[in-house]
Amino acid sequence: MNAPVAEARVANLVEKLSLRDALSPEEVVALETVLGPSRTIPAGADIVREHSHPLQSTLLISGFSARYSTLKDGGRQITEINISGDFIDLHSLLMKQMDHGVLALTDCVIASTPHARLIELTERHPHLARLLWLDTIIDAAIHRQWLVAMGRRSGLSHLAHLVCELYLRLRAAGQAGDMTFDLPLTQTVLGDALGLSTVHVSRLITELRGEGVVNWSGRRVEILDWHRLAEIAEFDATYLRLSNEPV
Amino acid sequence: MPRYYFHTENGDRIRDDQGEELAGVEAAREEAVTVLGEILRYRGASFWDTGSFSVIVTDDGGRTVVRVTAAASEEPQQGAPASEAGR
Repeated sequence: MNAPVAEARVANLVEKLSLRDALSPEEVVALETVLGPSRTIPAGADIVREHSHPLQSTLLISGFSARYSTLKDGGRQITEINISGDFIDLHSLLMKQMDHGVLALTDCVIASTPHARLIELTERHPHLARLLWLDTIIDAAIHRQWLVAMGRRSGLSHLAHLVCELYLRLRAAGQAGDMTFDLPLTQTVLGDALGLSTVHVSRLITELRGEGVVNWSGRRVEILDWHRLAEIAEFDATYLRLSNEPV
Repeated sequence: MPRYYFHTENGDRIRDDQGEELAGVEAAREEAVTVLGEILRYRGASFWDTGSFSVIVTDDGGRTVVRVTAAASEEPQQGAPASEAGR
């Protein structure tokens, strides 16, 4: 009876993975069965603490979370924004100790799977294991592009790049409409993701709006001119590996 | 915590209606310098088109509490034309 509900928990993950290479029904069931019960984490709370040694990996079922590191002076850098369908600390299976924390940016629904069960999953389903491996590699590619943006892009190009990325990632996980998506993040969070002050982020959003490229009010982002937005961002989607090719 | 508003001025004044809560004037100073630095970072030589850029911080009562300005100026090119002529 609860099969449809159960499958819904991995729906975003399955949609994201199968965009790159089709999953068999057995693989979808295997993903669902390794997950423990769902839990809700309130916005602002840590889902995974920095320096902890997780014994399980956690799937974000709904909400937004962020990988982050903090400095002694209180400065915080967000290194990736995670969306539902992301296995937020899959790498802890092999890395063991967290070199960063993962924070709930909104109320988040999560479910965890013990590392022992994940290892079993990778042994029984090697194709699925490669898909999950690909997913962590895409994370690394995202980090590279963020590094380029942080070091060399202008503020406007950097913000435009983030908007392009989030739209394509949300769409890949079945969570964006046609050129529109929900982004319930504060300007402080965006500033910590872009490495810019809140004041500057606010000016940049106004500038993007002023150029007629996006309609951005509150938590809703509507892309009015994708071509121009991608041009401002010098966006090249190669790093998101949106192509369907066998793994 | 008090709220501070960060306006910018380069010819036109762009008003900040949203503001930001900060511990005090010292924090507002720090933020003002950061904002100025971020905005100027990719201006390049086009900064000379406007010549100056200010971040002006006001408090809840509308009083200016911080002002930080960067300015570009034209310098006479000392000796350059003369040495060209001498060749």
